[in-house]
Amino acid sequence: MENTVSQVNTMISIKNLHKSYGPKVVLKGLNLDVYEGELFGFIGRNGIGKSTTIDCMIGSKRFSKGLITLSGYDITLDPIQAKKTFGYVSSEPTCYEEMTGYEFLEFIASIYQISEGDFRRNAEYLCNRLQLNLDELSNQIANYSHGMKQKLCLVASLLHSPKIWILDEPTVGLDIMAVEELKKMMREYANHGNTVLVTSHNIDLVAKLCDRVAIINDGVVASLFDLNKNPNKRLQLSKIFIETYGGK
Amino acid sequence: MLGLLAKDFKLLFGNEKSIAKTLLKVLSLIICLGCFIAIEVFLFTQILNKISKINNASNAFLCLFLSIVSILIIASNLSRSSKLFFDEKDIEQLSNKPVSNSKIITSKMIFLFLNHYVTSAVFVFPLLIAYGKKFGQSLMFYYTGIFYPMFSFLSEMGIALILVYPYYILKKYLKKNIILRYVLTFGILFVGSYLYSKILGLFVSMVASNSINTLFTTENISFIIGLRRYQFPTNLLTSVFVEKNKIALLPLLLISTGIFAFGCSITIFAYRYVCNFTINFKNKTKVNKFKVSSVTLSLIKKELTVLTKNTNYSLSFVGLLVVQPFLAYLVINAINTTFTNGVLGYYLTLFPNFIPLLDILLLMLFTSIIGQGASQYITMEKKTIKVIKTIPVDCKKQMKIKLWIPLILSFVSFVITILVLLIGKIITFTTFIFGFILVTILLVTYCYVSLIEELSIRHHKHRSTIKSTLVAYALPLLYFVIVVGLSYFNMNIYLVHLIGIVFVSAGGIYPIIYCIKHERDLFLDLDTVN
Repeated sequence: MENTVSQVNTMISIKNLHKSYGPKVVLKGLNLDVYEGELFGFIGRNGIGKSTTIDCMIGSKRFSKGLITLSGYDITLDPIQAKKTFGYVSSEPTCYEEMTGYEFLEFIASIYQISEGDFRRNAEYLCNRLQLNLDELSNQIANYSHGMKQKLCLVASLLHSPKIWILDEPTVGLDIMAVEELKKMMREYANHGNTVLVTSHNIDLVAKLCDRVAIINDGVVASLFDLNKNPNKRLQLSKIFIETYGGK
Repeated sequence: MLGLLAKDFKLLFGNEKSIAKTLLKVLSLIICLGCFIAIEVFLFTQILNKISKINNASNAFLCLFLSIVSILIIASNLSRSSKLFFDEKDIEQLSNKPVSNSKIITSKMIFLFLNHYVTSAVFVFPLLIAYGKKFGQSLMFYYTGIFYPMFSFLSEMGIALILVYPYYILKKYLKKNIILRYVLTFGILFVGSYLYSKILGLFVSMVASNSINTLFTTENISFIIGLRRYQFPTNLLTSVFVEKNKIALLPLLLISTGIFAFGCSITIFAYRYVCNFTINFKNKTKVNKFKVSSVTLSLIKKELTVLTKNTNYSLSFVGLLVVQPFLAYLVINAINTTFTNGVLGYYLTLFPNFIPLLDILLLMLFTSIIGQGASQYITMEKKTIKVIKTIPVDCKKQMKIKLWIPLILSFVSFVITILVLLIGKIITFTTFIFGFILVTILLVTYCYVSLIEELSIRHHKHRSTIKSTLVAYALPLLYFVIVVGLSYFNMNIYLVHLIGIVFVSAGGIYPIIYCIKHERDLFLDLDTVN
């Protein structure tokens, strides 16, 4: 395992994270630090604990042992402040189907108490980037396609300009144009000094895009690479991934 | 073809994996059907016994019963054919299969015929058997009866097929137009309540006069006989299958086949159209003002949006909230009349204050039933549990808003109801005061218990409604038994009411304290769906 010593701020810090579902132990002391301004890839086999780690990180699931801080705020002790610092997108769109797209964005803007000017500016900019027609926002979400719902969730996640952007399999159901735009957005977002953490089954996407990548296995981080410092790892990531799980 | 039929069967009746659940479903269906058929046949034979001597009356009443069954079957056919022909997922799945449209349509028609035959046989055969037994019909009568559902299929399915496309379009339009949806919902509920009040009126007059004969006046019977000429297709079907009128066979066949052919043509055309084009009603484009409201207001707006725009709640909760005052007035008034007249009135002199205590019980039950419609605080979130768990708002605040929005709506509806009862002089001022206190305590308790149950939902573990059902029904019934018992021993009514309040409050204190104490932990342990 390679360690990266960085002078920049740690935005996501996970120490000794344990999580079980009944008798099944999923996370066995997972440690992870993600820094300011980096695009971090978090990969692993299906059902290995990626989404569980993220759920613990965002306060969606309780964990049995460990410490998670986001922008310095403990998710267990100071959940409100911690939750204000990130935007989150899951693989399945999570928005109220009874609302119109605009009502959902208005709900999110109000929850985060964004100024009306920022709300307008961010919503227009993000919808434009993700090719989500502003007129479509007047329609009920139940009538949107899967891709449109996902785009709406992406817009909602960035509406309050969070310091941390967490994306769990964000490309599921998106068309190729939207995937390309999302990749650009993630890169730009990190380049602006924010932190982006992304999980994906698409190793190619992670290899090409991320600064660092962690592979999770057996409830811990099995490998951690700085892809900028080791460009050869970028090319070999698929091979390393398969080898981590005992494949040839 | 068999594969298509099996697929259609799964589409309509679901694909339950658990054998126990399937058995339970089948068993409850058999019990419900059995009860319906027993009541249907009992009423029919009772009526036949009363009117069999009057010329033409028996056939007119058979025709009336068959017409009621026919209307129910047309409604069922309409709903089933809409699901069969216009289910979007089904259309999408079939679009990439190497099956021709004509094969798909034929399989759906065969399925509809089989479904119609079974449904019709279940409801019509008992009536024909009861009629045949009463009038000593020959074996030929029962044999020809087997063909009744085949003939009724043409007209009843034909009518359903004519209506199915407009019905599908209307459903799509209503999904978009919330105002029209509510107008229609309230309209249906008010018509339903009005019809219910008429039936209740008949029942009350029967109880008050202690006789069923009040229903069968010469005037009423002549009306039913006269009505027969408008009851298509059952008037012609009765002529052919019961009266053996061969001349009626030709118009029956011609008209029924015509209707069926017309219905088929419309449906086939519509099915092909829906397969190729998406029907979408555009909303009027609203100007997005990019307004930001307070956190509390936005949470309230969210709850109200989910409650009012979700079709599951518009009928069960919001609709009932509106009709509660009217419905409660009808029922309580009718029950008061029933219990103060005739033999029941005589016996109830033994139980002083029985009627006001019964009125309070009914108000409790009414409010519980309506409250049930909106007690799915977490269930209604579905995938958005993740949203409520990740937004930076204290879970206590979120739960408070979730709990109090439906509670306040139910409370307002209840206050209007009890005021209507007071103004209409159905209840006394004392009943009003104590009823108000008791129902409010019950409503708050019920909502808290429901919240505990909802917050206890876990992965692969559905909500258990035992505790809330006990609060909604067992607690009021137990209260009623206690207070009626106390009033039997001539205890002062104010004291009886006070004991009732203490009893109901005692039932509510523990769940309320438990919920306030543990809601944060329960909320944190809520499972999210990935």
